[in-house]
Amino acid sequence: MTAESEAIRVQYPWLARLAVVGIGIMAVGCLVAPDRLWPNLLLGAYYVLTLALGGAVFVALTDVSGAGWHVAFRRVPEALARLLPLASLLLAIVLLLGMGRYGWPHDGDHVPGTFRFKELWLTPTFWAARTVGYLVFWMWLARSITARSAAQDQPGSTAETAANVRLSALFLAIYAVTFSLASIDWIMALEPLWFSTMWGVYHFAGMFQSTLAVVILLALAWRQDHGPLAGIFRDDHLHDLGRLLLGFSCFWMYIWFCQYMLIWYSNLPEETSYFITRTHGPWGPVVIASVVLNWLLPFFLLLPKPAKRSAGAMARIAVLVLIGRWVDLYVMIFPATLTATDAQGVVHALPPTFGIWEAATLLGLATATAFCLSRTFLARPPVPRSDPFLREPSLAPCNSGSLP
Amino acid sequence: MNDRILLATFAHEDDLLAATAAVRAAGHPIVDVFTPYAVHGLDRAMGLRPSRLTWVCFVCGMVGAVGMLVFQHWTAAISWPLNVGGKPWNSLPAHVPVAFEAAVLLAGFGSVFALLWVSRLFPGRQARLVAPRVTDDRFVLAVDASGPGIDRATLERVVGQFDSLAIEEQTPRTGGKASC
Amino acid sequence: MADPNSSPRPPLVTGDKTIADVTRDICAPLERGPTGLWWGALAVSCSALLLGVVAVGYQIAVGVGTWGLNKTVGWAFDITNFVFWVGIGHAGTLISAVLFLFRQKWRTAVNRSAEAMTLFAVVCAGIFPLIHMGRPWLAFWTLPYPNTRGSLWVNFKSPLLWDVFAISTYLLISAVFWYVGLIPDLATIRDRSGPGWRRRICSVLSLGWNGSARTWHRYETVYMLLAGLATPLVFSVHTIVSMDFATSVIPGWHTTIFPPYFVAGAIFSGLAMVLTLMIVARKVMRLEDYITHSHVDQMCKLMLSMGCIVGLAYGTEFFTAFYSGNGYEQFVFKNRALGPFCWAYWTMVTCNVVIPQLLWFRSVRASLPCVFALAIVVNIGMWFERFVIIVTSLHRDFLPSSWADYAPTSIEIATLLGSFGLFFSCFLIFCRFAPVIAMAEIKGAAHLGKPAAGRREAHRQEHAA
Repeated sequence: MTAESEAIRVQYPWLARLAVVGIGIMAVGCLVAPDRLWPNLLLGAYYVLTLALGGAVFVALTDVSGAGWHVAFRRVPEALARLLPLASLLLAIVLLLGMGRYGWPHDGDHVPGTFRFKELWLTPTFWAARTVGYLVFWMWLARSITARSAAQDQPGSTAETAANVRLSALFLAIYAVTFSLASIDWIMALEPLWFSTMWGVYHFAGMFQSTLAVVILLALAWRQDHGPLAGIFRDDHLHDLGRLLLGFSCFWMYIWFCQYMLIWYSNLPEETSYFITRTHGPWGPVVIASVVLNWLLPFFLLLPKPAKRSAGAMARIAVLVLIGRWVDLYVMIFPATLTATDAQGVVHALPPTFGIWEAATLLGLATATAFCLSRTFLARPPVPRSDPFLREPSLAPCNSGSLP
Repeated sequence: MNDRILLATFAHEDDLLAATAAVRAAGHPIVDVFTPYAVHGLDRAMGLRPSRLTWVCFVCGMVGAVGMLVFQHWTAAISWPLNVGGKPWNSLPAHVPVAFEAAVLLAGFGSVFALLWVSRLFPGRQARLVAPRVTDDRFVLAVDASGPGIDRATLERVVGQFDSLAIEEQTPRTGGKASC
Repeated sequence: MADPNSSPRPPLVTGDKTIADVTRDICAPLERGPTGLWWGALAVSCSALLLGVVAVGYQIAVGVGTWGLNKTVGWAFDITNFVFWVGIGHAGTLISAVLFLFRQKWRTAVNRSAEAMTLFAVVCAGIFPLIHMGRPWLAFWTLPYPNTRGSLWVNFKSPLLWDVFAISTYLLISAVFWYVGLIPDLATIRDRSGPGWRRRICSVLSLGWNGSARTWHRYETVYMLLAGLATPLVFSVHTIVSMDFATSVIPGWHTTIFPPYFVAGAIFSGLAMVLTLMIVARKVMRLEDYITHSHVDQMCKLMLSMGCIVGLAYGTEFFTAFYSGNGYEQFVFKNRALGPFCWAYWTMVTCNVVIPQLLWFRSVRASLPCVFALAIVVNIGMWFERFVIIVTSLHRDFLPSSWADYAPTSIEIATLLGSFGLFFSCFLIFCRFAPVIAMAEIKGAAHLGKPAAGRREAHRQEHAA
């Protein structure tokens, strides 16, 4: 065990150093170019938060559905879920810093009667209180679930498994409502006049897809070079995760297409504003890139069975999906926050940019997250040894040996 | 040419799987195995290659999707352009749903017909069963015994430890033709 | 360490069955003569069907004017019934395809009958747009074929045309999926039957199946492919149905969440129908060992989760209407909850969101009468959901001068009853002539225990005899 974790410990300083460099440049950016850095911070913090939340949702969904196939690597999504407090803190700070950047606090000058509800809903104090409420709820429930899962390692405690099923159901019910609202409050409200009922589902799709990609990457990383999951995380697990990633890539595309197509088809000015900014002009290729990275490439690459069982192919596809998630959030956040007002007083989005600030935020937050995840993961036994489902021979599909 | 086939009958899939693997390991050619349901892992025990029907499905699906997109574009923008609700001639988002349905339809029918074709299944074909209960609860392993070095006694030695119910000799009248 | 063989899962088949027991138990209802109960049920459903046939004949002869529609409410009962029936079908595909991909073995208890239900429900659904055409004998005009009018092609930009493709693809693929699953079981029945019509029919339909492992190997691949195709298909079908409404600009219809919301609602109503039928069928056909309490429990949980998703969608729609700042949107939702059709709205909310919350309690899920009653309630609630969406969005539109009321005529109600008659007649006939449980699948999934040594000896002697 010591020799095995040695390999991982070696990576620590490497990750930590990169994280320090990235965060250092970000700190400079906060002073030099705060308008440019804030969207980056929002993107990064929201990305990390949804990964952590996605880990909790993964654990809860598998608990509730009585799944047994994931038990061998369940500590990986749990490690993600245990990142929630840190991610919540980061996002809370970013949102606090940027409250003035949301369009709504200034737009209340003369509000027609039908906008009364929106005005009340987006009152800054109410908005901030909700934000704290969502984060606290998620942290508390995710903590209870992961703590019980850890307590399961003590022999003879099957009661914990049953208790976690109930807790997970409660978490999912609260999560469904709060996450839908949070995605509206934090991202959709950047453009306060625009609305879409699909928004929460769209964010769930992106969240779960990227979580799967991270779980794949981490499990593969901790499997290689005699890591803690060597011999435990098998090709069958990878195959299953690959099928899920394929499914959720398609789900993301389905949700994206339905939202786009319905708005395109009905062509109502109050709704098309979002897509006109993004699909016409310089942002068009970025939207296409997000579709290619999130669906087109993963779909065709994941279809053949050998790809889903190959560590190299799966790691590459997971990286594609994670880049795709970044691009997807970039398209949501940047045109709404990096704007300029022209001579006629019309506000329009600036063209897409990728420079030192974007690169530094990406580097800083990605490496810091990886660093924290490694520490969190290695702080606990890597396999839930006494989970009742671990004894299942399972992994045999219903009646087929030839899953494509 | 199979002129002698030995049939070993089993009552449980575990016995059958072990016996099939043993017979294959001993190097005796397996004509076919007959089971009442799809036994998981039997394809590996018999050394069957993964089916290529997935490719048929993929190609049919792509043909359906691309063909339908092209057809819709041709009817809506080239053959007889109609202005409906001011939508552009080439309304790609509106053409996706039907293209998707065409892909699924073609892929589904393509793979099922390919299955029936390569497995020689068609209405009116007489089922020739190796044993009457093979569609109920019996598992039968059919071994080609025409070559040298295999006879009833040899087979009995190989599969005897796996609780075979009986080993019989049968002249080839089964439909178990080895192909694909 | 506890007993390494103990699994936290309940057994798939109870009663310590052998493989031969499975065959015998499932074939038994087919080989017994029909019971009086069956004849009675068939008589009732055929009467309803007859009523429907008369009503349909009348409205085709006289015209769609026999319905209660008016200039403002131009779509009401027929489309409600269409969406309702399509939705019922969705649980069948969910159980047979989606749960197959997720390796939920409990699906084997109900997948055959749920697939049959899909087929019959889609047939029932298809009737309504066909009647609404007014001249159903010209239904082929919805297909793009070269014609002497130009050729004038169908309008591929219309969601109603997407429906034609979606529903026909769904019907065909479901039928193929169902039939492919039936082939091995038909062979089993063939080999059990003595000479006679049953054997002859099964011989033709089982295509000469002989249980060859080479064929099984390919068969499994194709079954998996069909499941993989049917999963996005089931999403697409109700998505396209929802787009009949969502591509419009009518407040209450045009909302982007409609596709996933309709899919969840469809699965919700379909599961309710599966539970309704299965609770009766397991009792009448003595299949308690195959459709066990734990299967019912699983379906209840699935139904509860779908109900919660539907409730979330109701909430999202309401919230966004007020958040949007669009006065027309806000009016539609206020009108739903407080207007002349508020009784329908609150029936929907009570039946779909409030009452199903009882399923959180294990004791409720364990009581078959409770589950049966809940399933009926959900069926009613989901019918009202479609009615609420369709009628309340239309009856008070942008111009108060054109506001109107709507009430169905007796002809429309008779047509609805007729569709129920058709559905139940088909289902009863299916129960008599096809195995309601997929024998070959349940035998493979249940991994029935190895017979004890004494039993094996008996097998051997029996075989020798």
